[in-house]
Amino acid sequence: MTLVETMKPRERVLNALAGKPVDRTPVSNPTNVATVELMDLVKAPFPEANRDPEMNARLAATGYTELGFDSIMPVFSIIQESSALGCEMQWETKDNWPTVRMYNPIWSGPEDVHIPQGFWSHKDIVVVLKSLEILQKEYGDQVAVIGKSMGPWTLAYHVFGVEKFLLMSIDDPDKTKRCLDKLKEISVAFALAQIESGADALTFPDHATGDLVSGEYYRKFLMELHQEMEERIPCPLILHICGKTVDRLGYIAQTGMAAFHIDSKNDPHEAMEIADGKIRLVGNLNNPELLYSKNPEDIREAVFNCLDAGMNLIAPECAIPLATKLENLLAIPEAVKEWHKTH
Amino acid sequence: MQSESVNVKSVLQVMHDYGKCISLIPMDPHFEDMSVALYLKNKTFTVWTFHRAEGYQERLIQITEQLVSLTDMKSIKDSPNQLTFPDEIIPISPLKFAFRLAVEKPYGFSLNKGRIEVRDTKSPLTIIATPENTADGWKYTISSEGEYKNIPMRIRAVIRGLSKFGSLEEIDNISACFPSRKRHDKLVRLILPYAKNISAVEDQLESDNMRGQLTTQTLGFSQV
Repeated sequence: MTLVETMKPRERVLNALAGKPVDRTPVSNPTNVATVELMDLVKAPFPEANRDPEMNARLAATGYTELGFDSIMPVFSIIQESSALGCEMQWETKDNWPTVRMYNPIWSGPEDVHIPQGFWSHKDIVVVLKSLEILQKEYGDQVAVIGKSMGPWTLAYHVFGVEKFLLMSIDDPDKTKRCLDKLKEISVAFALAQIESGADALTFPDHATGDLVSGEYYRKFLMELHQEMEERIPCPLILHICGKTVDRLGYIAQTGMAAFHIDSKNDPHEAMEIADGKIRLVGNLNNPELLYSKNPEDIREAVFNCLDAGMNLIAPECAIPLATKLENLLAIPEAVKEWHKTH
Repeated sequence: MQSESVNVKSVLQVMHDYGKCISLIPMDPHFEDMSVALYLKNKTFTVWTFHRAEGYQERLIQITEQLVSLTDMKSIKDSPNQLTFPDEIIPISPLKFAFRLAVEKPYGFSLNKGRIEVRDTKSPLTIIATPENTADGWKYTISSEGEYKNIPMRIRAVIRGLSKFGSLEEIDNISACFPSRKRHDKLVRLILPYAKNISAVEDQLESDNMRGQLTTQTLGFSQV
């Protein structure tokens, strides 16, 4: 049986996020699919590709032009806003991710939280907005262009430090909520700017990760806040939280967000059952043990498992390792198409 | 958007032409931080990069020459970045180690000549690998020089290391052979230093693999 594709990638992704019918399950990259080989292919190496709009757009586009994914994601890392807020950065080299030096936090409480002068002209903000404009102009009629705005919980880790912020959440929940309330305005403002620049949808990473934060914590601090994000940001939102999150998936499903980008630590069948059609799921191909370490045959099997479970969009669980072999990434859309030939 | 890609080949074309990626080194420390990979298709290896800095072809040839020098691979005439390996069953694992050395060590780097031996790091022993032609083909017998409380245990550990990192098959507690039963002294010489300390090599490989991974651990968003 042959697979007849009747939709453009953009329509496919946006329909899937809206829970509407699709011609086949889209292959998406809510985080990113940049690798060192793709950086060389288009002369856009890290760390510069995180900071230069032209390089950024060129590298991001390869996810569609070279790998055949149905979306383009130009915000490779999770540090753009934090860099512009004044956090101390470690930019690293081509083969590693830029990070925030969280051991040296810039703020200590809600009274410190503000958008500093120069935020909107900071190169790490400008790069995202300009790149989205470039990509929307070049590919917008074909492919879904996805932006990324960090949620207040992740921003809190960066500006207050992980340990200090988590201790604050135990010692002083009210202060924690006030911090989140002020930080969420940064999330909203950057999200709105990205929509203005051409983002069709936005990934909303908010790292209340399974390793550090319980499901009850999610309900207490973030569920309503995420509901508010969904109401205030007028485009499909893809919530991203790493780790085992089935204990909070029922709450996440109540946020009204379009989709949840889910980690491979969660069984896709169990996750789909809990989501129960209230939120679409994106994922959840393992990065270190599958995409980085194994072969196209193994990836095909994992993709089939996700599709058998009914996963709405197929994607790596998070930003892929930068030294991932390209054949393993090409295997994802291939496997999706193969599965649909018989389903 | 102005396309900066000057590559003639797309990713799909490279996969089609050169096959599976056996090993990928993210940054060549001796040339422009370019990524460089070893591909394999129909028993032909290709040293490949998507990088197009001036001089990249010469660098690929250097790496190919190093592979020839460090292993029993043969370069292909008129195709200076391609190689073959003479066995029907190719021992992939030691070729990955060889590729890393070919890229990361300076051009011209070579392994010691003479007896295949290495100083043990877990004992005062010198570990020796001796090739021996038998009715079943070539095998390598591991022996030692020096005093140690439990020499058989160290020999056995080295055999396990040769199996793990060198693709050799264990014959018994003191000897191993390549699947083809052919003689590959260069590969044994290359792998022996790794084979003597499996856990340290595994730790190093694990550490190398973690670089470039974005996980809750590397982000600092988890308890380790």
